Amino acid sequence: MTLSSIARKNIWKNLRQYLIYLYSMIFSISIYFTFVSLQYNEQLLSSTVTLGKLESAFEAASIILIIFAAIFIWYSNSFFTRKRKKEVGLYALFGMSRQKIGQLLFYENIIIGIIALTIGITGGLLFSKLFMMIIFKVMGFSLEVSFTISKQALVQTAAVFLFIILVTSIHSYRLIYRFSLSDLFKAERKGERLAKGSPILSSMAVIFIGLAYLLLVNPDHLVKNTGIRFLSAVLFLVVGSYFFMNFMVTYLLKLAQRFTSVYLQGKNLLTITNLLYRLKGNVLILTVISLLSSVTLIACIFTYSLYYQIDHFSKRDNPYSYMFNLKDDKINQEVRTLIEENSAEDLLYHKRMQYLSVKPNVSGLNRVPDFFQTLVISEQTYQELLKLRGLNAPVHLKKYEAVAFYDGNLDGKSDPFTGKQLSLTANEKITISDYKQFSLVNQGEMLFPLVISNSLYDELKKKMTPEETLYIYKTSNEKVAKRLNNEISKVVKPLRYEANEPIYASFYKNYHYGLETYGLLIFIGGFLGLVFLLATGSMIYFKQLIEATTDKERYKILKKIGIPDHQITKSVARQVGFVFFLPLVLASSNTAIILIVLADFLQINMQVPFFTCLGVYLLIYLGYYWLTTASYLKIIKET
Amino acid sequence: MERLLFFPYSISMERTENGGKKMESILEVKGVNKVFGSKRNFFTALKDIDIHISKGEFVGVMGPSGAGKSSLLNVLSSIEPVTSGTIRIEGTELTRMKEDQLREFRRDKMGFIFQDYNLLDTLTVAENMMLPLTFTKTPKHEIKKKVAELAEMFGIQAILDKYPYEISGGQQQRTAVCRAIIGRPSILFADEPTGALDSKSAHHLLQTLSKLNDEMKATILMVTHDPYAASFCSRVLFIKDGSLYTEIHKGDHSRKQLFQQILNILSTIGGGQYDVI
Repeated sequence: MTLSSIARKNIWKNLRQYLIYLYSMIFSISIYFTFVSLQYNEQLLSSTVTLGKLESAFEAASIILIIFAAIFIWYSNSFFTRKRKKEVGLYALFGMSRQKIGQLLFYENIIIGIIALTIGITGGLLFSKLFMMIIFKVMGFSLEVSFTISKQALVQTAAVFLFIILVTSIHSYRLIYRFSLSDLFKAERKGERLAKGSPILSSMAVIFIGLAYLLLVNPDHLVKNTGIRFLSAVLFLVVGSYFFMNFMVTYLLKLAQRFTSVYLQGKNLLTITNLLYRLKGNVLILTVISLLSSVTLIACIFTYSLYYQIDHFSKRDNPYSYMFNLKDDKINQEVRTLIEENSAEDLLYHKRMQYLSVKPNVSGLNRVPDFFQTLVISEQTYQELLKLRGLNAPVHLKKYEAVAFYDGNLDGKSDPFTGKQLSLTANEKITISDYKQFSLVNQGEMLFPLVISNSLYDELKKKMTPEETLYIYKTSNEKVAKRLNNEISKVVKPLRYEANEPIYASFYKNYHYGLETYGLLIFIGGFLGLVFLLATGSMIYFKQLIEATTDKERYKILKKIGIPDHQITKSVARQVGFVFFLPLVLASSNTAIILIVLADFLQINMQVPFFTCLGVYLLIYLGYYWLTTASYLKIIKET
Repeated sequence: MERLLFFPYSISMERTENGGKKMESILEVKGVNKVFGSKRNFFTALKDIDIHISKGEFVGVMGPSGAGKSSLLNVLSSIEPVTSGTIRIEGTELTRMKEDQLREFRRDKMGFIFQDYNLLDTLTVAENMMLPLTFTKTPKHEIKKKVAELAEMFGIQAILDKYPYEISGGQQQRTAVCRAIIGRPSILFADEPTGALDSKSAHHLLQTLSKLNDEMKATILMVTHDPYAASFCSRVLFIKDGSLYTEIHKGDHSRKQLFQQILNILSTIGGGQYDVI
């Protein structure tokens, strides 16, 4: 009988024990493989214009996944080896040499690893097709997903995980050297010290978390330096969460013990004392999970909000379906004909907007780069345009005053222009007296529009080169006019970098650009969110199962002295529920505060994404809760 | 310890009757058999056991290892089902009850003391004592009152807020006794209660049990392999190879005489491995 045959036999005989370990390995591997196959997918690479810019996001996400997988596999490996300490002790007792035992565990782990790698990659292949379909859907592609195997992804996954498997195998090999024989037989720690709940440290938890929230909301610009503000907010949040889990929860549980009528009900007594008994060993994992859940929720909700509001963003940043001045009458005419012929019934309005292309000194604004084209528009043209758009935003201008417009500013609430000055010539200065929170022209064409009084406009018109015309079209089929856009692109593309700076913006192009960018972002956000959620769920699951194994004796006693089964079930359900939902409560509160701040800053509405994501999260979480409770009960009830 | 007289309620359900009437029956066992294993490979642990225990008796069960002492206790206390035969406690037949009914019956009518105390290390001494009552509808203030009374009686007031791993074995076992009797069970089952105790603590505990029996008329069934412990009983049953071998009554004998008798019987049934030769 060789060592490897013992190892093989061991695996088949103890399959049930190995399964949890195997599952978590397979899970990590297939997740990782799925992700890198997407990263290297030819179809995705060739059909998207934005991928070049998001490659770094993909890279970062795959590194996060490696770290996650390593930690997760390590965690389940130590859970698994801990379960087998006694078995290893027996081998040693029977006179197997340490080296032989080490080799046995090493081979076992290698065999499990190879099995997991094979199944994981097979699973990943199936998943990647599914996820490709999802990714194409959110990015707005209407492509048939082909079934391809990326060699690069295969090699990368195999390399990464073979390395991780090797490290864990060495760790297993060292198990017998790390513990003395008596350690291997010793039961789990007995008489864990009870956590102490101090009212002072508990209030510190509230103060720290409160401070973190205060710094995030930053009312009346309390703290000026944004970097310091966020850094200290995160720091306070981390420390506060730890204090919350460690001291405050203990304190509250101890407080509950004082309410005799509640506490002296059998199941409450069992639940509360068990929680108190276990809490100290759980503080770290609960804190980590609450923070991890916060990050997950925020990432998911934020990317989803962006995606959810593409319509809103596109309309805000691109008020017109087409807007152009190609600085060549013939080409202008060509494009106009194309649009008018192709969207006869869909045309809502069109306008020839007159403007003066001036080159003022904009350095005083500290905002507009000097290579931007400044479009000076008269008050009258502005009023005509607004009437077409159905807006009402009157301006009152003195001669040397101007109105500036929303320029894609991230901080949606602030007004970056009013009060600042720019100079037309050395002694002619214009003050910006008003700011409107909408785009006057489509964003992204490096234009700086300004509305000035009619009198100044006329004066300038006389002095400067002749007026220019910006052609504006609004159609109702702007989102779907793919063919028309392609045809215009053919005409416009050759002019792209000409010295006279032709202007061409189309809603369709920007809308689909956004759809691709945010689609990919939400995909990455959602993917990582899902992985983290499954990881946190599994971590609690493992931890609870370890506790169930050590608690088994305690439940045997309860059975012996005649405590009814349903009472024990209730007590377990509450206990597990507490461990599951405590971090979620803290995470929801963190998420809500941070998102309120973010939504206010970006001026976007996150309510629907917030509740949708939280709902989905809760649903999966409930699944884990149910699974954990069921497994816990199964463990303590088996004899 | 010495103040058992203050014990405000009786251990059994009803007050003891005066006069020469036949004592009220607590435990009735008829024709109980217990077989382990499958058809082809089985082992008979108990054969045709008949036992009758009346109210206020302190019965010891002795026998060599493997004779079936633990099986008997497990079967009597309904932790394990019988293969055939009937067991009645205060007239209620256990063998027909369902698992959940049984557990409630066990909680309400039986008290248990185990060799390894079986206290929950997550609970304080006081909480361990009150645990069975917290699953009933007993008013909370009454629970607290009972804990205080029992603690005083057993001399463990000072350690009520301590955890089991912080106190001695003797104290743990006394806590376990309190837990066993706090719900006023009809019968108290003790499984080698002195097995893990040093001789001084063991003596202390046995005195407690015998006072419970004397002054409160508590009905106790104690399995033990220690003749010294058995000598505190009013009647001792001997089992050998799964059957009842014989029984002796204390009657008017002194404890010393009973002890001598026990040793004699043990030597005939092969209990020679005991500490007294």
